[in-house]
Amino acid sequence: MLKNKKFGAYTIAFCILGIVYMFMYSGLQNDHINIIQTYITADGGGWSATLTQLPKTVGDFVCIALTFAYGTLFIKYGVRKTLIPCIVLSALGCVGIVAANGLDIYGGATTGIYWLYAISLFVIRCTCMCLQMSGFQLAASWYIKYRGRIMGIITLGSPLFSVVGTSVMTNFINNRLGGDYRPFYIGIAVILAVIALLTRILLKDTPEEAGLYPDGADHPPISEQEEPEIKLTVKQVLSEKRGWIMIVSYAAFQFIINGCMSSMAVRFMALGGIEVWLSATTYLAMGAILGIPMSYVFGWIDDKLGTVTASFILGLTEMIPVIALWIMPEGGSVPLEILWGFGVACMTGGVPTMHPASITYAYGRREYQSANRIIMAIQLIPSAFAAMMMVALIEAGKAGVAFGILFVVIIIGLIATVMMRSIPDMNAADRDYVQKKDEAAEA
Amino acid sequence: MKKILAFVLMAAILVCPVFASGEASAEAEAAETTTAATSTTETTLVPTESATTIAAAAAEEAEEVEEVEEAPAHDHSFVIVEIVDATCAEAGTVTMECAECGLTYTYDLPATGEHSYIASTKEATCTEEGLITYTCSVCGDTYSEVIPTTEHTPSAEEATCTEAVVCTVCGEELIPAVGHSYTYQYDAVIAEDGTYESYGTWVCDNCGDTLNATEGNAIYYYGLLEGDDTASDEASDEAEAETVEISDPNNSLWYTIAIIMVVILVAELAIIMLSFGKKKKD
Repeated sequence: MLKNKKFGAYTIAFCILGIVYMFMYSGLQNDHINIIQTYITADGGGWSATLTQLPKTVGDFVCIALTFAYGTLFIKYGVRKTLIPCIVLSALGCVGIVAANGLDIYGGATTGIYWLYAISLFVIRCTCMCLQMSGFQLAASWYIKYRGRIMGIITLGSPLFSVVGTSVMTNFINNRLGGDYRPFYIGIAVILAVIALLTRILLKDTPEEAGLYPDGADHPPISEQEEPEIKLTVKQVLSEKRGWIMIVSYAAFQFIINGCMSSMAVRFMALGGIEVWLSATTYLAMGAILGIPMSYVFGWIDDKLGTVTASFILGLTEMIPVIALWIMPEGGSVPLEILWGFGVACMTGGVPTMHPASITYAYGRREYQSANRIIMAIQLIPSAFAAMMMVALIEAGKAGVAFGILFVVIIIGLIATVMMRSIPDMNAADRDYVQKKDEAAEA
Repeated sequence: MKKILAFVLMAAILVCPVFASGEASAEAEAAETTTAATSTTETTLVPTESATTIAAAAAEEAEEVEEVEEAPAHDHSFVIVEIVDATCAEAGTVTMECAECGLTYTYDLPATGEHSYIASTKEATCTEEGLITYTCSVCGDTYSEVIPTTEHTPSAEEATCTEAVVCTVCGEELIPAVGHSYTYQYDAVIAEDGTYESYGTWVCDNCGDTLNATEGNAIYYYGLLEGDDTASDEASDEAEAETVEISDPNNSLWYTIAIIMVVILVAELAIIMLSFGKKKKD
């Protein structure tokens, strides 16, 4: 891949920008709200927690539809023409949060402009999603043989924010800015503006646009020589068996992530109060750090052993945190908490890498986005309710039922994953694991 | 007449020996005075005991030499006439002379090798090493000893919210300022219709500093009470206090920055999107 210098340069630029996309996506999607919330409190005279979170909550649901919209825009106008306006809109959203003020320290609700804050936050939530989708789309377009590993590299940006970004952001705003987060948001806006510029200068939507072929090869992909490119419609995707297998398998895995991650604090506190939860956060932090290399590990497995095997392993590792939380005794248990931390690492590191990899497996490089926009949009619907269901059941004292449901969902996901074996790899002729198998067979 | 001359002659004979013995005793006295003066000179010329010892030994040696090499006309009586003291670096000499014949003898005194150093000290600081320079006051020989750097002298035991612990000597920051940790402290007045008014300010838990609120200028809030709010019941007195609503002093600055940013971002977007169009035409 790096032997072709021109392709190597694009690869390096994409890997760096890809990590930045995922890093910024992770921060702007959710995490920055928690920091804002510290300085806008009802007690301090600011907007209530519900009002502060409302634009994001609405945005979460709107993003389900936007997945389809962004996918369609990618197909129609290309990745960069869709992504760059979204990045600039995100930057404008950051500027809007600055202008809206609303900090308790300066009068909170009385001096803040709520409508400007709400629109700005909503715009950020909706547009930052394009960063993630663009990263996946570009990886799927540029790589076949190395796809899993490249996905693994760029997706490490998300856990990186959880480990580094949150603490840096919190400390910087607290210690350097005295709680006034507005200069920080101006800084984010500037960074986003630079990212938009670099995206325009350094990247191309497809290798063909740059006069290259995927993986830096000197010939077009063998797997794409016979079948012409078709843009799949909603009807075509939903009428095929493979479409539903893909929807069910990764909807299940996504459901587990949302269900587990959003309910873990409630679960631990129900088992012995805040002390148990605080001790568990140590292993959660370790899991978050381990999640950074795990994304690459799953990408490597995808390239070397195939997407179905990697997906099945991912499904098995998702059982770990579910079972650990399910059988966790009163007062907590260190071995189970360690297991839970490891499971979280596999789950958070593996799913973002394997989701686009599996859809590319089923639909191929060229049809990835036309299928993904539909499959991903449908997958997000049950996931949006996973958190609510888990918290409600645990708080009602029915944790066993809650984790029982998650366990059943994993089994469904694993069955769907096994069924993926009936779907041929659309780029098989160019995949690393198939080439290795052929070489072994010839030998 | 003959009788008178005979008397005079007899008297002269009797008086002459008396004058003669008087001259001799005067000569003896003069000799005694000279010897005393010589011994005084000898004492003055010998400044140290060691030099005297060395000189005496040298005199004996010289006498022996005289006895062997030439037939002594008399016993030499050496007296020291000059001593050049030996120093730490240079040899000295002792010169003796025979009081009777003027024979001189010079004996070398070896260099002592014992310097008389005087120390001059440059004290060490927390940033720079010190130096003790030893200089021999006689021969100028020098050598030095390095004094290691000293510990910093902290300005305080602990850093405060705003002030770091620095070295009072060199000014280096030893412990950075910890920064304020503000908590919003307020009292609220709950009205019958469920609205509340609160008066408070951000107060640093560590130093009590109030943020952007000078004394008597508390922040004023109002709104609907939500559930079991943390509003205090002790606020009735505070409600009567004169309050001034504090707005962000940098508000206009932030609006200006926001407008500039919006213009820049929109311009950037326009340029980028137009550049796509141009590329397509090419």
